[in-house]
Order: sequence, then structure tokens, then C-alpha cells
Amino acid sequence: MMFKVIFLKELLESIQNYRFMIALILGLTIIPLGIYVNGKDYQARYRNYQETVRIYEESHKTIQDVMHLGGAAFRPPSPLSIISTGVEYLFPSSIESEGSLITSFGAQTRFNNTRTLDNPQLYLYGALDMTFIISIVISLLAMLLTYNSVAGEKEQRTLSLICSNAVPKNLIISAKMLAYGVLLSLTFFLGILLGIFVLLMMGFEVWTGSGFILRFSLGVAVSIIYVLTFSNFGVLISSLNKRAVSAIISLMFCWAILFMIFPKASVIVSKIIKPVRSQQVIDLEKSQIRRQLEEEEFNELQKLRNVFPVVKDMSMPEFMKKLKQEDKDAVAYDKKQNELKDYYQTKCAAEWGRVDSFYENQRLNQAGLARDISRLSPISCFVHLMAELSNTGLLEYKQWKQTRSRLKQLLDSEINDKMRRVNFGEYSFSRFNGDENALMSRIEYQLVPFRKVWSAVWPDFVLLLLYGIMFFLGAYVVFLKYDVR
Amino acid sequence: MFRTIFNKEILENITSSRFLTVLILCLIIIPLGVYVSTRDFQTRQQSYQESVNLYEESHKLPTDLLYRGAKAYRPPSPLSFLSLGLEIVMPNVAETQGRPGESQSVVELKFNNSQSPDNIYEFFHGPLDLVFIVAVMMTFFAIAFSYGSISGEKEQGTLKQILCNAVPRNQIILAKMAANYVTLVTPFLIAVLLSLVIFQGKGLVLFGSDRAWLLMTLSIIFSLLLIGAFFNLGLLVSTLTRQAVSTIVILLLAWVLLYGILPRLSSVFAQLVYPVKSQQVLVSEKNQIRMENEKECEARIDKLVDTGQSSLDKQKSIRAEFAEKITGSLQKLDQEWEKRREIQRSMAMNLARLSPVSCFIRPMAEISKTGWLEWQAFTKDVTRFQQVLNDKVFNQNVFEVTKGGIQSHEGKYSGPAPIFHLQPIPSESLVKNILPDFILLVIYNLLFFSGAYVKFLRYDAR
Repeated sequence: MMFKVIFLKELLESIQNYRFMIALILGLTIIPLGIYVNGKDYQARYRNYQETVRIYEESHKTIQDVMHLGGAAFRPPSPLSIISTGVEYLFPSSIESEGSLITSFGAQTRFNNTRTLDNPQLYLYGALDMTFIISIVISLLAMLLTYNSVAGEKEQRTLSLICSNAVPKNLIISAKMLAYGVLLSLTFFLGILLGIFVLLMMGFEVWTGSGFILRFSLGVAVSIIYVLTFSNFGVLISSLNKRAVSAIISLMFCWAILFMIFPKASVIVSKIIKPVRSQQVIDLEKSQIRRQLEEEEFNELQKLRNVFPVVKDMSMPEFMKKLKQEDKDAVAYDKKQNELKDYYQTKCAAEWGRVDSFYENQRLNQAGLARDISRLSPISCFVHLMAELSNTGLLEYKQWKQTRSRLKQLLDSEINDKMRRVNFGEYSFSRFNGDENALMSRIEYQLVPFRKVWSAVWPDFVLLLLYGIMFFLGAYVVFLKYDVR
Repeated sequence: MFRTIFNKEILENITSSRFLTVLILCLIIIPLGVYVSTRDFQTRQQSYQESVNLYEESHKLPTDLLYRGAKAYRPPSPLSFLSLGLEIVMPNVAETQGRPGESQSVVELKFNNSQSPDNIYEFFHGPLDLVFIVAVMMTFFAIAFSYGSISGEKEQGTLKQILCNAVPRNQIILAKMAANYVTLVTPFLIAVLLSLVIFQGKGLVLFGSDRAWLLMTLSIIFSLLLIGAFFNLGLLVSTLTRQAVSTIVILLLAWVLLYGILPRLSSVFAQLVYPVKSQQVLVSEKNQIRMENEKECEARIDKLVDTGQSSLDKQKSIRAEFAEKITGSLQKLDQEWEKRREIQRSMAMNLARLSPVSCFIRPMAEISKTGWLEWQAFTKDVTRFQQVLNDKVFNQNVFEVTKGGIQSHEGKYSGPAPIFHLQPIPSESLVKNILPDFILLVIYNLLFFSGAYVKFLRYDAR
């Protein structure tokens, strides 16, 4: 009964406050606006993606087309980017073949990012997505709403009056926190409902695909936990201070530390503790390996020709003629040189694989360390969680990067492996031994599935819950120990 | 009198915990930010240098370009520690595709961004450049330093006591403003200068360009103006309210609006009001135009060969006609797209200028050579380089279609292969570009301060 009275009193008091009105107005305008603009942006990007794929497919129907124009793979934008744009803008928009597809070491591929300059302001000022709105705007509003919950009453001495009566302290603080939690969650929830309404109005068409509803609902749940965490944090700091103004200043500094210092310092510390060479330097190292092997291969082929009986005395046209006639010596030489080429191709792939996995592990270790340090801030936990749920985070980037080797495999199996290459001294000839007019296979890219995402982000979810509980308990204990005198 | 109030305010500020906190944070974060950003620049510079060296070693003669293709690299900006801007997202190379020597048409350099971020994790929270430090941290501190300057004294009743004496009001507000601002920016300036001296001494800040110190000074002026705008806004709100708590609540809401919402909303608004197709679609459309024209050209030449009316001159003139047609169509497409994009960009830019934060972020990117001007300069120089390549190298080779197949007539080449050079942006263009933002920042400062001044003069102490 007592709990209900205090709860209702706090609720009514807060509702009548202009700060709540501002929070409500902001929540009801910015959240739907963020969802609307990101929904529109997604639709535009998806149309661009479809248009690019259509033009590519029209001009790259057959193997001959791909041999002439080069192959490519495209990544569709994530529909969940309406809640978090994450680092999707840094993802290469396509993976393309580089230079000639017919090389002794297989097709070469590279990333390309053409999306980046479509909207330069986005990179200068940042995106107005739901994650930004909640992590920055709503968390600040939560603190503005709660900063004087206890300190304000201490300052006005109303808390002394309440505590002089037979009111259990635990009921006072629990009712206060619940009232703020309910108000903030309600504001956020109403904003989201409006956002969903807006999405329906604009004909957003991904409701059933790729676990959209599950991910979206989880995103909303995580956001509510986050908002409650900051509400509890506000009450905790308010309980620790005697004056409302000290409470809000402390909150401001704490918020700045959680927003700036931990996330940024995590990257800096990880870079200092576990330095990794840049991708461009690694690529240079790989090209050096390749050049060295190509040189070795060339020398070996020369040596082979010089020691092979009969063939060593042949001129190039004679050799070609003999090979056509399936002459025993020419065929044996051709077989031997193909074995040599296969050996070097395998060696190059193995060396590259070794370099790639070595640096990839180093990079993962560095990113892992940075991520672990940044988890000291609930803002980082929230931002990561939302980005991974939206397929715009690190997992998605990793999977998209792996598509590069899939494209290489496809180009090698459909084109490069079917090339008949003949080397004779300094001369080399290539001929395609397949049907040039056959249809070329394509790479269909699938976004990272939910199960994989969840297995990577559950620690952030648990941590966020823990922060919420910890702040609640902190505020609870500090309030119980408050000495009215 | 001014001096007395000024000294009193300075002493009060220096002995407060706020000043110590700001000083410690500035002395930690600013050098750390400069250190990390310069390390990142060094990595980019090293990659750029190695790529250019490798390219120049293997592309010494014009004939090398025919089979290996041509590339134009954009050097990274040493001033990116001031603002990373568009540095990471801007294409860093323009290159030909395939073997341009075998191309019978106009060769085009295509932009590519090969700067695949090594540790994408760091972009989750943005870079720790000076722009971030000033736009977020220093504006926050500006609020912390100004919120209680008037309303705090009103609340405590000390303002009444001062005004009861024969102290000119204008001197009070001027002295308060000057003292608080000086205390706020001193830790910032100390930290900036200290980090520059330390890292310049260690050879980490590579001021390659002769204008580097000038640009640095300009960026500090912009920083001081933004800090001043938020500080004066704090002063204005402080004179308008009676309680320090109300001041800070209003200021935090204003900060959210000016930093978090207005700049971001501007780009989104411009996109919605004036949509422009993506660069990826433009590239695909250009490829289609090129392919269609090339097919048409080959068909006409084949027809000539089939009817026996072919000659090298006739083929040359047909190829020249189509080359002109392709160039014209591509240029038209580029110009139309560029025009639309420019309208969208200026719409977003002007809308964003409603916030002093945007008037700071965009010019800082331009000053640091990581903004739109740099991208435009790179595009312009690449187009010029492409013209030189086509005239001096790629169009020298002539292909003749005969009944027996394609016969190539090798051109005559002399001298070394053309090399790409990025021309620095002229000072006049930079000044012209950032001047409106500078004026606006000054206006914001004056507006907020005069608002606070007038309100304070009209304050009724009763």
C-alpha cells in the first residue's frame, strides 16, 4: 500500500515536470524520425543494390562476359540498419576481380567501396539511427529526469520529513526507481510504436525475412534495459550527492567518461599492447611472396626446358606442332611443367593462407582486447549489441571479408582451372578449354544468421543487465544507509 | 573594477575541482588523441609511399602502362590528427582496369578505396581527433564552466549583494565572461601546444606542407570559437534562469540538439528532399554506355571490312567519332550527377549551419585536407591525368580490323611514363570555403554574448 502511494506520487510529480514533457516530446519525435529516415535510406540503398546487381547480371551472363569484364560480388544492405547503422558504411560495397582473371596463381580479387561518397555529411556528422538516439539522447534524458530524485529531496529537506515518518526506506527508493523506470520505458516504447507505424506506412517490406521481427524485438528489449540502466545510474549518483546541482555535474562527467574515455581508450590501449601491421603492408608482403614464387617458377620452367631431352632443341612453333600431334616428348614435358605450376600455385596459396591467418589472428586479438576493455562502459555494450543484431557490426564485416575467397574460388573453378596453359621458355599461351558461352554462376551473399550473432553478443547482454542491477543495488544500499541528521 | 572581478573569478575557478578535472582530462586526452592519430597517419603514409614506390619502379616507360595499367594515388593528409573527416572513406586511388594497351576505346581511370580498415572496431565510436575532443568534450566543459556563472550567484544571493554596490553591471558580466573563458581554454591550449611540441620533437607529427602551422593556427581559432559559442550560450541561459540546475538542464538539452540532432538531421533531410542516385549505380550506367557504344563502333568497322571498303584512316575516324561520343556521354552523365549531388550537399551543409557544431566540424575537415575540397581536387587532377594518359600513351596504339583478324600498329613512345601529382588546394579556395562558417561562428558568439549582456543589464535585483 505504502509502496503504491509513493510510486503514484513520484509518477504524478514526474509527469507534471517540464523535463518529462521534453523527454516525451523528444522521444515521440526523434525515435520515429530516426526510424523513418533510416528506413528511407535503407530502401534507397536496397534499390541501388538491386539496380547494380541487375546491370551486372545483364552484362555478365556468360563465362566469356566475365572473362572480358571481370567478376564481382555484391552485399545487400541490412534491413536492420534502421536500428543501427553500425559500421556498415565502411564495408566494401563490392568485391571485384583485379586485373586479368587468367594468371598462373589464380584470380586476384579486391574490395571496393563506392558507397562512401554518396552522402559525405553522414561521415562528418554521424548517422541519426535508433542506437545513437538511445545511447546518447535518451540516456542523457534519463539522467536529466533522475538527477534530483534523491539529491533534490535532500536539498529541499523533504526527504528528512519523509524519513521521520514510519515509511520503510527500501520502499521509498524502490518506488522512486520503478516510477522513473516506468516513465522512461513508456516514453521509449511509445516512440518505438510510432516508429513501427511509420515503417508500416512507408511500406517497409522485410517483416518476415531474416528473423527481422525477432531481432527487432530483441533490439527493443535491449534498449529498454539500457534506458533503465541509465535511470538507475541517475538515481545512484543522486543518492550519493547532497545537492541536485552536484548530482547533475557528476552525472555529466560520468556520462562523458562512459561515452568517450572507455570506448576510445579501449582502442588506444589495444593498439599499444597488441600492435598489428596494416592491411596494405600485409598485401605488399603477399605480393612480394608471389613475385618471388613467380620468379622461382619461371627459373624452374626454364631449367626444365633446358634439361628435357628432345624438347630442349625445339623451337616454339615446333614444340606447338609436336604437342598438337601428341608427340610423346612434348606431352611429357607439358605434363611435367603443369606439375611444376600446380606445385607453385599450391605453395603460393599455402603461403598466403599462412600470412593471412597469422595477421587475422593478431587483428582479432587486438579487436577482442579493445572490445573487452570497452565493456567497462554500458554504452559500448549497447552499441555493439545493437550493431551485431542489425548485421552492421564486426561479425558481418568478417563474413563479408570471407566472401573474397569465395569469389576467388568461383572464378578459379569456372575460368582459371579450365584454362589450358602452355609454357615454352619465355612464351606462354592460354586457351579456354570449356564452353565460353555457358552461364556463369553467381555468389549469393547471406547476412550472418541470428544464432551466430547471439553466441557472440550474449556477454554484452548479460553485462548490460548486470550494470542495471548493480546501479540499482548501489542506489538502494546508499539510500538505506542515508543518515537524515 | 574589471580587474578585481576578473581576478576574483579566475582565483575562484582555479581553486575549484572543475578546473582541476578539466586540466587533467585535457592533459591526458588531447596528447593521447594526437599520438594515436599521428600513428595512424604514419601507417597510411607508409602504405602510400610503398605503393607509389612499387608502382613507379614497375611503370617507368609509357609501354609499361599499356600492359600494367596506370594508377594515381592520393597521399594521406598529415593534418588528419586535427580532423579525420572523409580520409578513410574517400577513394585513395584511381586506376585503369585490365590491360589498357589492348583497349580500342577511351581509357578511364576508376576510383577505388582500397583502405580496408584494419581494425574496424575503432570506428564504432569514431576517431579521437581534435574535432571530436573539441565538439564533444570541450563543449561539455564549456557548459560546466558557464552554467552557474550568473544563475548560481542569483540562487546564492551573492549577485544581489554585488549589485547593491557601485559596480557597473557591464563590467561584471564582461569580467565574468573573460575570466571563465580564459580558465576554460587555458588547459585546452596548454594540452594542444604540449602535444604538438612533444610529438613534433619525436618526429611523429609530419608537417610536410609549408602551410601546416598556419592551418594549425586556423584550426585552433575555430576550436576557440566553438568553445566560445557554447560558453556564451551557457552564459545567456544562465542569465535567463534563476536556478543553476535549470540552466544546466536547458544547456544539456541544447547540447543534444546542437551536437546530436541538427547536424545529423541535415544530411538526412537533404537526402529525402533531393534524392540523388548512388555512385555505384552511376558507375554501372557508365559501363553500360561504354559497352553499347563500343559494340556499335565494332559493328560499323566490321561492316566496312565485310564490304571491302575499309582502310586504316576510315577505321581511325570511326574510332575517333565513337571516342568523342563516349567521352561526351560520360562527361554529360558525370556533370548531371555532380550537379544534383552538389545541390544536395549544399542543402545539407546550409541546414547544418543552424548549429555551431556543424560550422566547426566541416571547415575543420577542409583545413585538415580531409574534406570535400580535397576530394574535388583529387577528382579534377585525376581527370587531367586521364587526358594526358589517353593523349600520350593509350591513344598512340592504333588497331586495324582486317579480314584476317585485328592488326595492331604500335605507337611511337618517348620519354618516361606520365606520373600523377596532386596539386595542393589554393589558399583562396580554402578561405572562400570556410569563411561563411567562420563568420557564422563569430555571429553565434556575438549573438549569445550580446543576449547575455543585455539580459544581465536589465536584470532586476529585487
